Amino acid sequence: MIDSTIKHIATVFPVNAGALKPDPKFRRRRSIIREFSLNTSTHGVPGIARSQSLHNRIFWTVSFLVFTGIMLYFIIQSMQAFFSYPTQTSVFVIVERLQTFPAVSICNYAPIRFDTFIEPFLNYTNSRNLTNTNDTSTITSYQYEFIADFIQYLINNDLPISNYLFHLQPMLISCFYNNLPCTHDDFIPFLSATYGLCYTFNAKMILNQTSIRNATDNGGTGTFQLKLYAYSHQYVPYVSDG
Amino acid sequence: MLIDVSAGMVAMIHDNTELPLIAIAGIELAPGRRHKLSFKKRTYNLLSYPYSDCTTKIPLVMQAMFNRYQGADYAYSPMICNLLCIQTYV
Repeated sequence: MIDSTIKHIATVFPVNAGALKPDPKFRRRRSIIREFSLNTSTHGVPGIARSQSLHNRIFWTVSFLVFTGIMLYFIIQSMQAFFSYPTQTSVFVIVERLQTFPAVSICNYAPIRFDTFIEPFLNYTNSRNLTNTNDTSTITSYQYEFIADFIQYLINNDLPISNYLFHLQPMLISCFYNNLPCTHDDFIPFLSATYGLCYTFNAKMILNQTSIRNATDNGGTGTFQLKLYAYSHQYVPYVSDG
Repeated sequence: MLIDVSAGMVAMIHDNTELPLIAIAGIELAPGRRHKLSFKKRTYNLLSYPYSDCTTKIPLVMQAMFNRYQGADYAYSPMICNLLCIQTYV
């Protein structure tokens, strides 16, 4: 069909019929690749496809491969830079006119008070035949070894320990925040294994998120004054040693 | 009696959302004296995943600990996380 058309054209126009014949090398599948190579928007591939001499083709091929390599190098490099998640440290000095007052926690240095603790403690050690004494004036270093056991016994049996701890109310002689009086109700209690009952002033609360005090409340400068009574004479020997 | 009265109270200044680890960071105050504690606030904003392993997600065990603090809204702390791991696994 093509041959007859070319022959027909060649008879009308005096050209060499062989020149118009498609190169058999570029038929069918290869012709698709060639077509693509000639029309793609890259520069290198059409250069290879359209080159007539071997030198030209080698030049285009080499330069295409070299610049593709350089391109891949930069793409991979920037991807690696992204996935290494680089960070930087920035330091800002922020001037805040309105500053919140921090939280303050206080505890008595002693976890347990001697006067309420000694009798139940002696009952406990005597009932376990660990000691045999009714001396409620002091304890020995031997008796001291059982204090932790006694506390553990109380907690494991859900027995109240509150009675043996130093509560804030009797300790708090005076409390002022920016010269306005405060009470033990402004504190939340918590237990510390080392210091017993402790209290926190001005912690952030779940129910009342806006309860945090500002340093400038009442025109003050964030001054929290506490006067506390430590009850040092009620410290249990050995427990509250330095 | 062997009683050391060089300390009468223990105090600690901390952030409003910070659980006070008072046994570690508390300051012992002597009885019969006046003590002035001043404070300075410094905030660190650390980026979370994927930039670091930092998190603000409170695990259940830490929430159980926070529940013992009478309605306080305390925030995650890696120090408490380490303490809880020590208590759980050691």
